[in-house]
Amino acid sequence: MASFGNSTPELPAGSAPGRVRWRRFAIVFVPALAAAATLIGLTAQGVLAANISVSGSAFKITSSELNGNGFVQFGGVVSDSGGHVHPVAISGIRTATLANLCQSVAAGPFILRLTAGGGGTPVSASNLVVDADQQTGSTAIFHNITIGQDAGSLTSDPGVAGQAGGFGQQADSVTIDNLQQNTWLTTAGTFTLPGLSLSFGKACY
Amino acid sequence: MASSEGSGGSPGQEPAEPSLHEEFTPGRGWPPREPEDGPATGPEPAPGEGTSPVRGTPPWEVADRAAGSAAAAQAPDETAAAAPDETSAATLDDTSAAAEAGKQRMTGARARDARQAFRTWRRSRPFWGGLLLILAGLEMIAIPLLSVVAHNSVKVVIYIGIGGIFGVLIGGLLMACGLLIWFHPVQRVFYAIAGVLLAVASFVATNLGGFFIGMLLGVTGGSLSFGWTPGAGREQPGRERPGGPGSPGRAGRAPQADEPSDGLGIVLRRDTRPGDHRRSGGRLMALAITPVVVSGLMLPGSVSGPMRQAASTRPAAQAGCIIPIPIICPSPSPSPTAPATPGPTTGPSASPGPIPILAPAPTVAGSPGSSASGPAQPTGSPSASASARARAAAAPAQMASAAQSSLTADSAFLYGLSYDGRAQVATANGTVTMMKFSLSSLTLSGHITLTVSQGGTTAVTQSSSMQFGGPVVLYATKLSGNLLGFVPVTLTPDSPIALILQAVARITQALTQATPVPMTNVVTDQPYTTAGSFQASGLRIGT
Repeated sequence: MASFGNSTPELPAGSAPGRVRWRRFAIVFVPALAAAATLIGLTAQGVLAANISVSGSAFKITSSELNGNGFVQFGGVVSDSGGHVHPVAISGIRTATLANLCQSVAAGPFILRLTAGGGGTPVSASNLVVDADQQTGSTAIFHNITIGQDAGSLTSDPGVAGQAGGFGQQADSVTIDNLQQNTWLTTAGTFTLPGLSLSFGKACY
Repeated sequence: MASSEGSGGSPGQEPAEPSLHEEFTPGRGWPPREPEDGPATGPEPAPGEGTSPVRGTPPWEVADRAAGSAAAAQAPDETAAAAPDETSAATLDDTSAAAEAGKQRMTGARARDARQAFRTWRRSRPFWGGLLLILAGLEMIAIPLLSVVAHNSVKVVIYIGIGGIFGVLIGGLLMACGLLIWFHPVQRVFYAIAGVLLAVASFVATNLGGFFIGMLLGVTGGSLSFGWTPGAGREQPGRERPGGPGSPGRAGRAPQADEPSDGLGIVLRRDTRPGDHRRSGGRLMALAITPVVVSGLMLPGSVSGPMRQAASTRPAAQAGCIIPIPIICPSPSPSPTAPATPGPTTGPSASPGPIPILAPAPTVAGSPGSSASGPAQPTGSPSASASARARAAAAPAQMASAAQSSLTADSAFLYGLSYDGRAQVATANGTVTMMKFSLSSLTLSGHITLTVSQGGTTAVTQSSSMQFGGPVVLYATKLSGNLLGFVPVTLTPDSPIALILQAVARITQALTQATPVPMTNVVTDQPYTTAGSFQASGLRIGT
């Protein structure tokens, strides 16, 4: 009976009750934190690009000025858990810069707020795709636009197109001032986020 | 030995080794961890055993059934497979217990046994480190995929390039590291380091490390797993519950000072044994890091959630930066590094498309001009006689939308208007006869509404004013309004007015170049427009 306490039969190496040795912990933890802090710093200075891929109905984006090259937009639908169908406008921009970007995400009871691109250096993004059920802009300027094109034949942002027969539009370039959009889903290949700041607070609009 | 098998188990036998102990109880469901084999292999099943082990029944349920029978003592044998140190004690106790009291007592004993088994399992590996890694992975996966789960809308997920994949990939790998640390702890060092590296890399790869939360969880979990070592600081024999859990005198007893639960031991610090408080360090850290992460995120800023009171110690730092990493907070960095336009923009082919997006782009995709010649003029048009003289206009280079659409505006000014004739415009549903107008510019104002109906839904684009510049080309199936404000006009490809307009196209073009044609209550059906430039004010796209 005396021997029962010290081992379970299945694990020869890791079987005995163990503990955390805090020096070992620190050996990994401290350098990892340092590396993470370095990455964060580089990202905040716009040196490194980050990937963003967020979904959720309470995801809001504002930007004082969006400049994009290679713009497509077409209709789609999102169905929520209640079975309701929400039409959304799916916008794809090949490369974009966004001044004074603000993104707010509802994370449970909190609203996570991410701002970047202030102070003269805008955020730049590539392969941006946004599903928005609402988009507003005080002024929107497009060049070489086509409105009413078949959504399946859109070519300005290669790889992003809708279903054949749908209503779509595309343009070589786009500029939208005071952009506000309520998105269901946003993806971007890369994001450079100069002046990154993450906080909890109010939604962007 | 042999007598113990036949007698329905004389639990009073006190084996000296775990292995021996297991050998001694074959009649009660050997092997203990596979109860479905129990009755078949036992040489002589104990009384009451015939009903208990159901094929596929987990051990704790088997124990449940057995509890009602007189052979209540069997239960510990089956459930405590992972904690054999208790088994003998429980068995001992049950010999002296009355069978009537068995059931009630056994419930508590089984719960303790299960808990004990779990605890033994937990302590034999870096449990808390693995748990944090798994949580980190879940959090990272949840951010991009939450709406897919919540809204059941896989079809709208569009991942372009490697960016979208990273979010799921790193989260999945983190979860794998955590699970492997649990179930294959021998290699925990590798999994721990891999988890830490993945967590750090996730900052650039996936939503800033799941907005820091997943990254912190992963780094902490991986470090905990790395720091965990087996076996040290543990006392050897008979460490706990010398009397056994199932003892009648102790069944309902509250935990005593000499056997506190681990959680109590942490809090009360009663446990003076040297190894114990250190042993639970992983859990302490795991328990600590979660509220630290959460509350640390909540501290500044005006939290609108119900947990606002947690922010009582709000730092004076600028309300609006979280995470005690100073770099990210102010960062007024007008860094010289221009926003380097990200390199790998080629993306499109990388999207394997779980979605119907890369749609079977009909006919056009590659060569924009290909469909221009496509719609051959149908000579046998029904109105061929009426429009025999009608010139055919060029079709657009791209396919037009087949969705029902309409553009309305309170008023319009048409500059340099000419009607070019009928055009056969390709759509996904076949060719459609449309009118083709050319304008030098077009201005719309007042309640401009573009309504598009497709797939049972309607999308509306509104604007207060629109200006089309450059060469403007407008295709439409129908154009109506009040010309000059008071002459109602409805143009369709077959209307006689269209013919006249076409005949005088050069005149109208010259005339309207200088003085635009005003039109009110403009309605354009199936508009297909190309313009060199387009400016919209007060643009609002919604439903």
